[in-house]
Amino acid sequence: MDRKRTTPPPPNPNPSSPALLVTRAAASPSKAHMLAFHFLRALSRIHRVTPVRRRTRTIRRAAYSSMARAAGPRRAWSRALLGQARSRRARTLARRAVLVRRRVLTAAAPSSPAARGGGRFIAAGGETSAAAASRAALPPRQAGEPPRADALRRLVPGGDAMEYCSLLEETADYLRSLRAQVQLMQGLVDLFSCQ
Amino acid sequence: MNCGPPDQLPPATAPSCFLNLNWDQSMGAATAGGHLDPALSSMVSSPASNSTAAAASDGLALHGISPQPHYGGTPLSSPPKLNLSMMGQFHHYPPPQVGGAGASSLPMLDNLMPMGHLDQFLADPGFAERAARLSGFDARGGYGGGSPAQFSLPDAGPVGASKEMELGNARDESSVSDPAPASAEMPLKGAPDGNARKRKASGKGKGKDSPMSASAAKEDSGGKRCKSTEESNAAEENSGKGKAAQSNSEDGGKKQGKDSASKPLEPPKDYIHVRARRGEATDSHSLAERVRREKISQRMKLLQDLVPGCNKVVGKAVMLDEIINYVQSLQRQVEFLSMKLATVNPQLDFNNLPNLLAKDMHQSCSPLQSSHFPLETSGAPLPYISQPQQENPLGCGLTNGMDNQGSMHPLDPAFCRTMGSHHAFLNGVSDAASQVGAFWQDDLQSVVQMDMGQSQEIATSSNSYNGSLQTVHMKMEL
Repeated sequence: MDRKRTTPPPPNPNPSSPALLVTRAAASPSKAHMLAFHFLRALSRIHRVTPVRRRTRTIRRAAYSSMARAAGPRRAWSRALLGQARSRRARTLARRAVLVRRRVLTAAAPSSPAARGGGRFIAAGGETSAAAASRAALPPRQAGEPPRADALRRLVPGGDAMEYCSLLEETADYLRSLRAQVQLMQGLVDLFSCQ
Repeated sequence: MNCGPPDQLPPATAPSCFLNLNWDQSMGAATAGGHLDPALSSMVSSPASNSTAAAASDGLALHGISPQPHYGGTPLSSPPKLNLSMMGQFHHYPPPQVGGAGASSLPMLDNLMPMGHLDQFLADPGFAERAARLSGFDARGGYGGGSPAQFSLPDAGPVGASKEMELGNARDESSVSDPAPASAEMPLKGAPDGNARKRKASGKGKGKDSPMSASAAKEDSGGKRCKSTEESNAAEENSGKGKAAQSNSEDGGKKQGKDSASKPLEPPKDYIHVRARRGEATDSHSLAERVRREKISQRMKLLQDLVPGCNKVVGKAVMLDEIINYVQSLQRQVEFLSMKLATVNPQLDFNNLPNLLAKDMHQSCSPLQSSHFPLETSGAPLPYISQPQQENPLGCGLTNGMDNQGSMHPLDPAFCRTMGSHHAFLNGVSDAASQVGAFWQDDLQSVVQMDMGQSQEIATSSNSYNGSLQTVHMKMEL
């Protein structure tokens, strides 16, 4: 993880090649190319730096965020996914900073009040995020909206704040990206397993 | 008072969206002097006021404007004379040379009406006075009967004041009515016949405007707006009365100008034509609700195409269940596949790629593998490329091979060049893992693309590709 942050992400070794591909392909293939690009870059990084026990979760998150990156910021679901990833990263950074500080402080003075303050900070952070999640109420259901729409809202990222009509639109787009992602991962698994 | 030169705008884009250009053109056609501009603009602005004065008893200005009985049968062409005809029409001077455009000037006023612009005029107490003065000005000017040269005449005291005061209005109105000429072919309305008709007119205007002309209209109306604010300042200095009315109407005009400028910017596909059938409600809430329902059903149809097995399902609730199940299954699949990917040993992967390459090339040389060919062979030769710039011809070649089968031959020099860097790659495998990942991206791009391509094309192109791979393999064996 630390190496991941210190080493800059590998630059695109061949920036003109995707452009060439894009000019030939339609809109959705180019999106698929971007998806493959982001996901494979993340995958190689994960395989380098992440320990095995955390790899499943990290790969899943990388899959979603590469989907969101390929879709661009124009879609609500991709914005929601990227926001989630960003907040998660910020949380882990803060937690790690607190841990490091506590370790340093405990090394210096075992019963320092600042260490307990750090612990309280973690608890408070978790509490506020949970409270915010519970407080984010669903919008009042409109007329003509089926009761199952809330289930769909929970599935589509960022769907909590969406009105039913735009929820359907985002769902369609999200489905397309998700299907492309599944195809990509399936192809990768096949490629790896055929060795 | 500066008057914009009439030939500022290119005439090619003009007739579709500029009423003010038409106005300029008509001015240029009628008279030669630039100083006529204020006079004309005050005349242009006068129809609105005059008609409102006439319609004060009706309460709705639309009624006062649309049914002009002596213009009912006029042809719908000749937009350049638009404003002249407006003047003629609303001052009840029927000059024969401008009468033809009376019908086309109507939609503009229709567009103006529903936004409540003239209602401000109606509510304005100082307005009747102005209208009266304007009618006096009209009588004094004596334009109309085929003598447009008389436009240059009026410059008397009170008339001049009112003229300047109205100029800002005129500018604003001309910028407001930008999208109107696109709907100018709409037939002349005998009477106002409901919301649906109006929506149709505005929608037509929206759909027709090209984005380029729309942006031009926007900046043009912006420029006009600035000008009109200057001129309204001058008017306020000149005549103290009617100040509030002026600012009122100007605000309304500005708002509408912004609306009409931003409206054509929307893509035309956003517009859904809603028409109230017999017995349906026509108020705005029902119309909006109907639009929403229509959008929802449209998106449902889109989702129905996306979700497999959703075609046979009838009923929105069941379809929604299907969609939810599909999304859930895809998300579960992502989880499962990420678990599978996590179990793969990466060192093995990236180090074993040369072996994989040899094996895959042997496999791909057999014709049985032509359907699985893109996944394996396109992935195979790529790890040999360790210099990034050598990827270019390969990527081109791959896509070329997808598109037309004859262009596979440029691949061979690319492979020859990549062979030179073979040993460098083998030495630096472990630290080039990221590069390999980036190259693999291109493999998978080609995989994705190949999946989308027709199987026939792949089958036919795989023959030549196999041939090139064989040559590469032979070179590798050397």
